[in-house]
Amino acid sequence: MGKFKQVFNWLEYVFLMGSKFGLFAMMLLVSGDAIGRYFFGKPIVGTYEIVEMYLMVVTIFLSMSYVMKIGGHIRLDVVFDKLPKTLQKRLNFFYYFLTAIWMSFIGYYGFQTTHEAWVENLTESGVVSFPMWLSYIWVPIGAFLLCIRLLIMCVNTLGPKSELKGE
Amino acid sequence: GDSSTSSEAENKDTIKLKVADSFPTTNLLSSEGIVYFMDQVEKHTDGKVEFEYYPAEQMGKAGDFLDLIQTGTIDIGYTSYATDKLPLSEVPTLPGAYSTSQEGTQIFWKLMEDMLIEEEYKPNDIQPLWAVPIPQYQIATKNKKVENLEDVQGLKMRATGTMEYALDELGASPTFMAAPEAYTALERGTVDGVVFPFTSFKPYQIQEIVNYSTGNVRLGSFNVIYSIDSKVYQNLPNDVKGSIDKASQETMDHLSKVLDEKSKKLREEFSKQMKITDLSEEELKKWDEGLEPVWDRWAKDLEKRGIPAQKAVEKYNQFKDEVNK
Amino acid sequence: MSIIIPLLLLALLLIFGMPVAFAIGISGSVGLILAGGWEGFTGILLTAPYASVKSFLLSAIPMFILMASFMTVSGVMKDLISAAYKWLGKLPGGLGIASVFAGAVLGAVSGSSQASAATMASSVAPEMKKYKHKTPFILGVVSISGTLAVMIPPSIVLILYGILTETSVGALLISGIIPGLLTALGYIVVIFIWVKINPDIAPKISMNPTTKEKIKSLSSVWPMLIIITAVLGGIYSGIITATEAGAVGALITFLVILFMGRFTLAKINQALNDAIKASTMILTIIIGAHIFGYYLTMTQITQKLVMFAEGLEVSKYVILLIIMIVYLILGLFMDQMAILILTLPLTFPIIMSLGFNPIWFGIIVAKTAEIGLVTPPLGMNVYVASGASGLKTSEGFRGVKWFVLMDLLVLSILVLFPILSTWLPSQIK
Ligand code: NA
Ligand code: NA
Repeated sequence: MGKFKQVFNWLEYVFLMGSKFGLFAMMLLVSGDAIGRYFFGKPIVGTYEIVEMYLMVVTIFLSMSYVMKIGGHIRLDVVFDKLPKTLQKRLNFFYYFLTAIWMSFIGYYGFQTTHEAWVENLTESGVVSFPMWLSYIWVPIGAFLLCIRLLIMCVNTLGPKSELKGE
Repeated sequence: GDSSTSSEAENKDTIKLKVADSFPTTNLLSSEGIVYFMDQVEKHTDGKVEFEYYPAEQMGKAGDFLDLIQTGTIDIGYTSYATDKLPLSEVPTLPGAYSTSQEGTQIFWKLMEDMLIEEEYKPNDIQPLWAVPIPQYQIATKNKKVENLEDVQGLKMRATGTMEYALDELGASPTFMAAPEAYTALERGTVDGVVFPFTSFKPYQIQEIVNYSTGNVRLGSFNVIYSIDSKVYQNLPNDVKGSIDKASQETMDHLSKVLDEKSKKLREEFSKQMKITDLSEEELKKWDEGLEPVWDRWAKDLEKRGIPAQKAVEKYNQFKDEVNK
Repeated sequence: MSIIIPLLLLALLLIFGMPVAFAIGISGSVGLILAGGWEGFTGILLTAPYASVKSFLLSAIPMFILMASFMTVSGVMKDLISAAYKWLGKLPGGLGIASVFAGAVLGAVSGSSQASAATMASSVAPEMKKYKHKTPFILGVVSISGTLAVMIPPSIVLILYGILTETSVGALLISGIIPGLLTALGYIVVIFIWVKINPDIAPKISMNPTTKEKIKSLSSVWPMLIIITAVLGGIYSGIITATEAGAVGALITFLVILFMGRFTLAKINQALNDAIKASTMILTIIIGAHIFGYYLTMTQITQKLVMFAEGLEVSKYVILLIIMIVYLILGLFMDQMAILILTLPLTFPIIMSLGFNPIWFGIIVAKTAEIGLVTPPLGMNVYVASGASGLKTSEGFRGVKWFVLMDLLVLSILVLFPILSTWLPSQIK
């Protein structure tokens, strides 16, 4: 389990870097497009599609698991904080497990969509053609990462020194 | 969709079909298109078929409806934006493919029956119900009057779909932005103009903000298509199928006619608010020639993926000659 | 059953502390299965998570948040607040009032209320905390100031209203100015009274800064001035669209801070981390809210509610009142955009047939949308503000309640005096 967690942490970190890259690239690309359009009459072709299809999807989906880990997915705390610790643990186990199942559906359907786009070579065409699989693939990756993170957190709630939010 | 509530259980013959698209019901393409279609079907079947209509992206975004049909979430959906899986249905949107919506509708439906149903609808487990290519897009500008090809050079234009190729060929800068942003972008000069058909000006209030528009260029257009789940269609009783087919044909005739007439009327109305310029025949010819490469670019991109786009173009032109003979 | 169970489930899961995004998404999914069968569930789960995120318009949210994170991490925001405190610290709730102004300025930059709330939460909130302001006050002010983006142009809500109803977008945007300013004024009044009654929530400045100190503090304000001028100037001169403003603002902020020598790699990394945390949290909630919205669509409950209102044989003002109450109730549970898309095709024709003014109704709808953004259980701005500032949601909802009362008062004024909404556009036409 320890070794597995180590590898998974590393994997999650790598994808988080991807997410940060997506965010920074979005800033540069959208600005570059606006500057090019206004000052040189030459927008950057494909900005709209690259932001929509790739950077947004990469930024959000690849970091879902990390945000879960650091307790970033907000919750209503008013009742929860007043509950006894053992009940809090049980509730958390239930929430994480339920969400893991739900996420596995999203991951599974996301995988199907990606696979189909890959096999059929689907593209969003325009002056530049953009492959669709490269847009869809971040959904199953992100969903399954979060799935594993949630299962790890489930196991943590069972342990003696478990923490409540995140790791 | 086979959900039926208790009140309908008494009337067991009732067939319920779920329909979804992305147009607000105030849009002409909805009220004279799918709404008209549903009314006709209900009329022809004496209320045997009932529709549950989810307009205005209530069930998904513009690109989602093919997936929603395929998964059985809905039965009938707007499939115009599934161009990744139904690319050949874009043929009539290429520049100069037709002059009026009625002409375009006739030509395209022939192509649909001859080739596209087999080629791209059956493999996706759907059946096209009806399709209406809408009136040709015009260049509407705020400050610059467009009278010839030189005027288009370097214009920053908001555009979508195959129009992007057309503007690129003509030397303009096609710019992408969400349609709701077009108004503000024009107002502040982020773009010099937009490419819209007259029938789509009002939903985005384009007539309020532009001062010039072309009246007769044929930059290309958009194809409104609705499809039904093949399995759902096959399982319908024969008389219902017949009614649906009949209503489909009626919708194509009705909507294309309404669009052509409305386009003329709107043009008149808008001419009070802006200067609308018709290009001379000579100038139009130059544009058509300038836009010729768009067809090749479009076809080549698809051929690379093994899609018989060249053949679709040839057939389209053949049917065009037939319709116009 | 298919209506009660998912709503009940949502309420329970939220109250008992399940992460909001998943509570909404999962109860929506249960609803989809009940209302649309297994096919309904698979179809929406296949399309909605991807399609909700794949949006150029929504890219404004992470971009504005990134801009705010750069300001916070580099300390530029700290300098600004410190200067504001020196100038306004004697005023009851001085920093709160400054925040309302900041919210109005951000509202003029951005069309998105969530982007605006998140920007303030990750920049202004931590600083107010340092000056010993109480959490409900901070979160209340930040969440509510974010809603100003709905009314002050540009406004995504009003543009969407214009498109759905084919009402003049230009006139709508202009008509939002007076109600927007009136709302801001209302918030300032609330802050003033609240601090008068309970001075502890927003302590006054203890020292007495000299005029010289005050003037000196302004020297640290210039980076902020450059950034705001550049972004506002960029938008209003048409160089950039409101959606692009976030990205350009973030880049300008990045460059200004780099130029000031205030960045280290670690700080840039920290800013990216903070921005991702807030953005992903918000977008995940948006995914859940979309799924829940599709479920509500399938039950056709909104149609039923509106039909009910339409069928009543009462005065037109009673019907208007019922429609507004329906909007306020839907606002408790749903995403504001989803509400407009679901209901306007139904309510707008009714309102027109009753002879009401379309621009004015747009403002009324936008105002109810503003209120929905801060009311529990689904109060997007409060989640955004709490999440981005790392403070507690419960204190957030506690903090906005006085502002919501003021909002209801402003809403009543707007309903009773349509001229507040219709006068300005009529002057410009
Ligand atoms: Na705004
Ligand atoms: Na709410």
